[in-house]
Amino acid sequence: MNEILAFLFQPLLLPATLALLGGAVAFGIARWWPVACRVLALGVTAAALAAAIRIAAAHDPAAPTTVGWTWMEGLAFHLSLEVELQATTLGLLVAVGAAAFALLIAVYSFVSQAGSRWEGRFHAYLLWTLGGAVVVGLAANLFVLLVGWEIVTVMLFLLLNQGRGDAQAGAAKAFGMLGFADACLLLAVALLAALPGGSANWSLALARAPIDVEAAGAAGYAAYALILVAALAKAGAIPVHTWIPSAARAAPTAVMAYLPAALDKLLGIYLLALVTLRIFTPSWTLQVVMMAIGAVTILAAVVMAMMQHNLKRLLSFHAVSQVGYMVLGIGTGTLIGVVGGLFHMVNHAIYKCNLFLMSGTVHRATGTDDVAEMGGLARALPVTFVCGLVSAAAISGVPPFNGFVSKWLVYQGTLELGRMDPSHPGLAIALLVVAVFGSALTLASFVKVLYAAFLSPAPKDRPRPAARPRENFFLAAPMVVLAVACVVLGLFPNVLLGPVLVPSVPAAVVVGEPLVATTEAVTTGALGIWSAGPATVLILVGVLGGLAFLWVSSRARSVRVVRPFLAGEVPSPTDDRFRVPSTHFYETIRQLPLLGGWVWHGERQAMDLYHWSARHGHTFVEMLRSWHTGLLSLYVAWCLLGLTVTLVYLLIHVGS
Amino acid sequence: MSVSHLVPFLAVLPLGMAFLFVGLAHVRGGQRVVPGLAVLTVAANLVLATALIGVEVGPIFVGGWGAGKTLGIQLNCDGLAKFMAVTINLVALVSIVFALAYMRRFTKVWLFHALFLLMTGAMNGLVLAGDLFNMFVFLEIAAIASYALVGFGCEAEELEAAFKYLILGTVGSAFVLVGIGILYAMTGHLNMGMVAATLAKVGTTGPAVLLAAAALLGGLALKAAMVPFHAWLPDAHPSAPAPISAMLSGVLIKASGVYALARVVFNVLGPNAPLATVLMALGALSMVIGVFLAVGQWDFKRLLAYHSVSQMGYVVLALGAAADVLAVGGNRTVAGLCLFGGLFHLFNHAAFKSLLFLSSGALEQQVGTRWLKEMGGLARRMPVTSFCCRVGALSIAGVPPFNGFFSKLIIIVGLAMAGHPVLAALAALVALMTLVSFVKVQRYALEGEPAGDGAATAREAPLLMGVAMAVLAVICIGGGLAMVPLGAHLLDPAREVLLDGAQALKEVLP
Repeated sequence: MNEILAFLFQPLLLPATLALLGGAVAFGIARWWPVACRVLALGVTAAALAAAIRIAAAHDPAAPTTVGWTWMEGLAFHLSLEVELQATTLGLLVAVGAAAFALLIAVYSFVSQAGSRWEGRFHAYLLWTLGGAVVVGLAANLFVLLVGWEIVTVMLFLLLNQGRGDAQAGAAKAFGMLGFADACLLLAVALLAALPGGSANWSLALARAPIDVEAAGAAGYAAYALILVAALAKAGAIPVHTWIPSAARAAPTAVMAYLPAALDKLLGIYLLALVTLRIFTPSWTLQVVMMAIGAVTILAAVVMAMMQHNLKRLLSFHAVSQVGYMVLGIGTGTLIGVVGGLFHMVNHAIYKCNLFLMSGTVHRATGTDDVAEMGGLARALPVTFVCGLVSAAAISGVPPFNGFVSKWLVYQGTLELGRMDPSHPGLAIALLVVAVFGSALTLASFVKVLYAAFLSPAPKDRPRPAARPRENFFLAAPMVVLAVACVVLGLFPNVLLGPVLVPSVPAAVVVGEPLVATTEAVTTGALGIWSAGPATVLILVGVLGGLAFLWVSSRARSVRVVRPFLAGEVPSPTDDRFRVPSTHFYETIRQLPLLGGWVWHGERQAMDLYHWSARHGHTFVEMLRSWHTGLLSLYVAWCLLGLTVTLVYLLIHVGS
Repeated sequence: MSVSHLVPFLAVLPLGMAFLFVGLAHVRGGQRVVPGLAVLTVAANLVLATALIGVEVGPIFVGGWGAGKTLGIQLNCDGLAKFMAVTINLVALVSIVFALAYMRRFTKVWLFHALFLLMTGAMNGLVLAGDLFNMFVFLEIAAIASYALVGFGCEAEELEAAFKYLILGTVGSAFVLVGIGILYAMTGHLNMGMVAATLAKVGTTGPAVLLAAAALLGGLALKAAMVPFHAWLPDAHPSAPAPISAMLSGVLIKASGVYALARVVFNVLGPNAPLATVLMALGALSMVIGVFLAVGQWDFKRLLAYHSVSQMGYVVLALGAAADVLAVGGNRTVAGLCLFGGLFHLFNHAAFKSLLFLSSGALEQQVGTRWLKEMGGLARRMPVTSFCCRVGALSIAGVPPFNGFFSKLIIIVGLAMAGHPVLAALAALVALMTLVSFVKVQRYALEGEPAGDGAATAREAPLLMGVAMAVLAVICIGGGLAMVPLGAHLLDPAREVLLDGAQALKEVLP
C-alpha cells in the first residue's frame, strides 16, 4: 500500500494524482457544498499547473524522467500491463496546457457556473478531465494513454449533459462518436500487440524506433488508420467532426471552451503527432490522405461556419475548420509543416478558448446566442470586446497575432513539400491556395460576429435584460490572459518554437526525402519563419498612423453631417426598420450555385457519419426485430436448425 | 476437519433449506423467519466458497461411491468450480438482500425464497459436479426453479414468458441428455474424467461422438442463450422479479450455459479445431446480433436481457479462440490470455449485469414502468440508484477504470494475438454499440426532464436495495483495479483447469 502511495505522489504523477483525487473529493461533497467545490477546483487546478510546470522545469530532453510500475507481471502471460509515464517535451506541453486551461476555466466558471443545478459536479468532472488529460500527455505506453483518453471522453459526456434544453442529444452524439474513436484506439492497441514483438503496452518512449507502415503491411496500415481516426475524431476533423457543432448549442460555455476548443485539440493533435512521428513512419499515401483531410476540413467547415447565426455553432464550425491546418501541416511531413501544425494546435487552443469564453459573456449579457439579435456591447463590455477582437484577428490569421505565425508556417510547409518533391507540382500549390482561401473566409465570418455583437446598434424589438451588462473580474481575467498570450506568441513565437516544438519533432520525420530543414534553420528563420520584429514595427507604425489620422481628422471638424434621406423617410438609428442585420449578406452564399448545394446538404446532415450510421443501423435493427415474432414454434425451429448446422459442420469438417 | 469436507454443503445446504422452507411456511409464524434464514444460508455459502479459495481439494466421492465406478456422485472442487461458486454465491447474496425489500409487495414470499435457494443450490451442485449425469440433474433443478421464478408474478405476460422458457429450456435439456446418453453408450462412463480418458483412446472423430458433441453444444448453447438459441431469454429475463433477473442474467446462464460448455468442450471432449470454430461462430453471432437487438429496445429490462446475449458472446468467443489456439498446439500463453479475458469478463458481467438488473428493478418499482421514454430526470430524484445504474452502465460499456474495460481490452488483445483481427474488430464494434445503447439509457432514464407522473414523483429506493446495489457498484469500480489479486486467487486456477484440456480431470482415474 505504501509502495502504491509513494508511486502516486512522486513528482511525475503529482499533477494527475492531484486532479483525480481533487475530483473525487469534489464529487463527494458536490451535493451539499457546491461553493467548496468551486474553491477546490481553483486550488487543485493551480496546484496541478504548478506541479506540471515543476516537471517541465526539471525536464531534460536528453534524459527524460520515466517512472514505471509493473502492474500485471505476476500473471504468466503476454499481457504485462505497466503504468509507465515519461516526460517528453511535447507531452509536457499537453500536460501544462491542459492544466493552464483548466485553471482559466476554473476561474471563469467561478462565476459562470455559480448557482447552476450541477455546479458541484461540474467542478468534479473538470478536475477528472484534467487528470485524464495529464495522463495522456505523460503516458509512456499506449495502454496508459488509452485509459486517460477514455476518461476524458466520459467526462466530456457528463459535462455536456449539464447543458440547457436538449443538451442530452448533443451529449449522446458526442459520446457516440468519441466512443467510436475510443474503440478504434482500443483495436489499434490490439493490432499493435499482435505485431511481432508487440505488446499491449506498446511503448511510446523516445527510445523505441518507429515502425515503417509499409514494412508492417496490412496490420500496420490498419493500426495507423485506426489511430488516425481516433485522433481526428477527438480533434474534430471532417468526416468525424459532427459532434462539435451538435453539442455546441446547448452545452455550458465553460465546457465548450475547455474541451472541444482547447483540450480536445491538444489531445487529438498530440495523438496525431505520436502516430506520425513516434509510433509509425507514414507512407506517402497516408501523408496524402492526411493532407487531403486537412484541406477539405479547412474549406468545408469554414463555409458551414459562415452560414451560422448561432454564435456557439459558428465558433464550433471554426473549431473544426482550424483543425484542418494542423492536420495539413503534420501531413506534409516537412519539419516546418509539422512544427507549424503543432504550433497551430497551441494557438488554436488559446484563441478558440477565448472566443468561446467571449460567447459565454455575451450570452450572459444578452440572453441569446443568435448574432442577429445582439448588438451594442462594445461600450458595455469593452474588455470582452478587445479580447474577442484580438482572438478573432488571431484565428483569421491577421499579423502580428499568433494564428498568423502558425498558419504562415503551415503555408511554408506546403511550399517546402513542393520543393522537396517536385513530382507533384500541383499538389503543393493547391494545398496552399486552399489554406489561404480558408483563412480569408474565416476573417469574413468573424467580421460578422464582431460587428453584430459589439458594434452594430442593439435591436430594439427584443426585451433587454434589466441591468446593463457589466464586466466581471472572474469572467474577464481569463480572457485577458488568453488575449495577451495571443499577442505574445504572435510577437515572440520562438519562445515556444525553439525550446519546445522543434526539438520534439524527430530528425527522421520526412519519409524517403532528404531532410533539408535543420533545427537551426528553423529557429533562426532561415526557412521562412516569419520574422516578427520588422513586420510588427511596420504594422504598429501603420496602426499608429491610422490613429493619428483619426485624431487629426476629428480635430478638423469642418465636415457637414447630413442625415440620409431614404424613400421618403428619415432613417434614425433607433428605428429597427433601418437596422441591417449583419447576417443578411451571408444569406447570399446559400444562393451561390456550387456552395449553396454544399451548404444545403451540410445542413441536412448528409456528411454526418453519425446520422448516416444511425439510419442504416436502425434498418438493420428493425429487420432483426421483425424476425422475433414471439412464435414459439419458430424459436424451436431455430434451435433445431442450429443443431443441424452444427452437426453438419462437424461431420463435414472431420470428413474432409 | 478441514474446510474441504464441507464442499458438499455448498449444494446440500441450500437444497435442504429450500425444502425446510416449504415446511416452515405451514407452521404458524414460520413464514416470518424464512427470509432471514435464506439470507443466512446464502451468506454461509459465500463464506464457504471464499474459504475454499487456495485450498487444494482432490476429487470428492459423496456417499461412499468409490473411484472407478460407473455410477456415483463425485464432486470436482477444482479452480474452475471454485471460481464459479464464488461468483454464484456473491451474486446470490446481493440479490437476496435486495429481494428482502423488493419482494415486500409480493405474496407467498416463502415460496420465492424456497425456489431461490433451490436454484442457487442447484447451480452450486452443477459447477461442482464431476459427473455428466449429475451435472444434467442439477441443470434441470436449476432450470425448473427458474421456470417457476420467471412466472412468479403470475401476470399474463410473465406466464407466457415462463411457458416459452419452459418449452425451449426443455428442448435444450433434451439435447444435453441425448449427448450425454451417446457418450455413455460409447464409453461406458458418466464421470467426466473417465469419459475424457476413454475418448482420448477411441478418438473424437467418429460420427457418434460428433453427434454427441453437436447435441451437447446445441443444448448448452441454448442454456447460455447463444444466437440462434437465444429466443427465450429476452422474454424470460425481463419478466422475472428484479432479483431473479439479476440471478438469471448474472449467473444462471453462466453456470448452466457457459461454464458447462467450457467444461464439456475443454475437459471432456478436449479442445479441437472444429469445436473451437463452432464456439467462435456462436460467440461472434451472439455478440453482434444481441447488441443490435439491444440498441432497438425501449423496455429497460429487455434491453439488458439482449445485452446478456451479447456479453455472453464475448465470453464464448474468447473461449473459442483459446480452444482454437490449444487445438493447433499454438502458444499456450496466448490461449491463456484469451481464457483469462473470457473468465474475467464472465465475473465482471455477473457483477455489472446483476447491478443493472437490480437498479432497473428499483427504477421500475419507484417509477411504475420499464419503458425508458416514460422515465427521465431520475438522476435527481433517485441519486443512489442512478449512481449505481450509471456505474453499471459505464462498466458494461467498457469505460476505464471500471471492470468491463479491462476484460474487454484483454479479450480484444487476445483475439488479435490469436490471429483473429476481424473478430477483434467485431468485438470493438460491439463495445461501441454497447456504449451507444447505454448512452440511450442515460439520456432517457436518468437525464433530462421527467416524462410522466411516475418519474416526476419517484422517490429513492429502500435502504436494503440501495445497499445491495452499492455493494455491486463497489465491485464494478474496484474489480478492474483489483485485477491482479483476483487473477492470482480466482482466475488463474480456473484458467489452468481449462488450459489442461482433456488432461485436467485425470485425478479421478482409478
